[in-house]
Amino acid sequence: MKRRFGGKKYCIAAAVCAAALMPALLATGIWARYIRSISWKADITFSADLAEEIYLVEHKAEKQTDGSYRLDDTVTVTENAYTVMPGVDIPKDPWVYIGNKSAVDAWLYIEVADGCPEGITYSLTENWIALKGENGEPVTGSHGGAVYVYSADKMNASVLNETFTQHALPILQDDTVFVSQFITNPAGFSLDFYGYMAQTAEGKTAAEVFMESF
Amino acid sequence: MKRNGSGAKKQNRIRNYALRLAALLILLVGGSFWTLTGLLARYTGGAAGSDAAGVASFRVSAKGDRELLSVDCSDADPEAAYTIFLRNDSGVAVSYDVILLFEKPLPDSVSVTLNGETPILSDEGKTMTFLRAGELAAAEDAGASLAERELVFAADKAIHNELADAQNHALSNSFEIAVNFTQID
Repeated sequence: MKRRFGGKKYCIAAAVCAAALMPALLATGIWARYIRSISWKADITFSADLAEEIYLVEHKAEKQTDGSYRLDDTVTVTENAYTVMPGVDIPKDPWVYIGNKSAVDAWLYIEVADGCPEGITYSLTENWIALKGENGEPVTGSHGGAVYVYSADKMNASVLNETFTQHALPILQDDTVFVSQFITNPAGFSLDFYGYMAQTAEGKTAAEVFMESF
Repeated sequence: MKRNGSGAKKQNRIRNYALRLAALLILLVGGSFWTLTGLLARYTGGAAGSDAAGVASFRVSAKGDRELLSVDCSDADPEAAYTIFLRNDSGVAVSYDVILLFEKPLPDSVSVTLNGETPILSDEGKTMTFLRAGELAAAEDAGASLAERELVFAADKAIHNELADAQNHALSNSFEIAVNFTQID
């Protein structure tokens, strides 16, 4: 009898415990919130170019029957070869072409590698001003030529700070190389132009940027 | 007689004890039932007049529109958008936080917004948190609840200075996008 009573007691105690736990279990379910985290990876790149295109070009010079030259406005070339005659000027119209300039602030330079003998002369357009170093000495480029920087106001170096689709900047004044009638040895010389563009740097002059960049 | 009397008393005690327990059980079960039918009904569903009920499912998803995002800083006000697609197929409404974990801090010249909202930036600058970035209603018979959020990376002109010093004039960064969904009803 005692044992049977004891078994009943345990059963009752178990039932009480289960009943007491039920609300706790339910409460847990009620206050639980669904939470889920989903993640994935991606990459981001920031980039900028100064311009899509920058190059030097000129119209093709065609020799005439009298030995002079005439520019063909329909054909562009990267170089022309001339036979120079004393007193006959050479038409030459190189220009710097910039295509799709970005908003990145930049300086524009040309280097003039002048191998001309005495009696062959030319002038740059006033928009190119000679680049001078800290002590006023001329800045030279990697080809040994004098470097000039573009100036919109013809006095100070100009920062190209706007976007534009295309821009052509002429280099030679009057698009002409002048040949003296007294020239003695006109054969075998060259006059080369090189264009550069460099992003401006805070607190640095156009000359400093050029010397650091090229 | 004496023996019989003490046996009856004992039986009475047991009966009383059992009755009390039974009453307690009825109370507890009744309370639980009330709780079930009242509070739990929030996330169970069933048509009116029907005795069927089911526990709401929880199925959410999120993804981006691409893996590589390029910001062309050639323009004066460069920016690029990245779309996050969110979907809730659950029987419950959800809110979500969007967290961006960058491998390295973004340049100061870059700002990030999610549908025009600015994030909370961590001290080290590598984590951006858009708290309670939005909510998605519970899915209905018509279909899942959908949303698109636009993450915009914008840079000011100062980015050009940072690009000038960068290798190949480009700055790259990897980041993880985490969307944390939480049931709200």
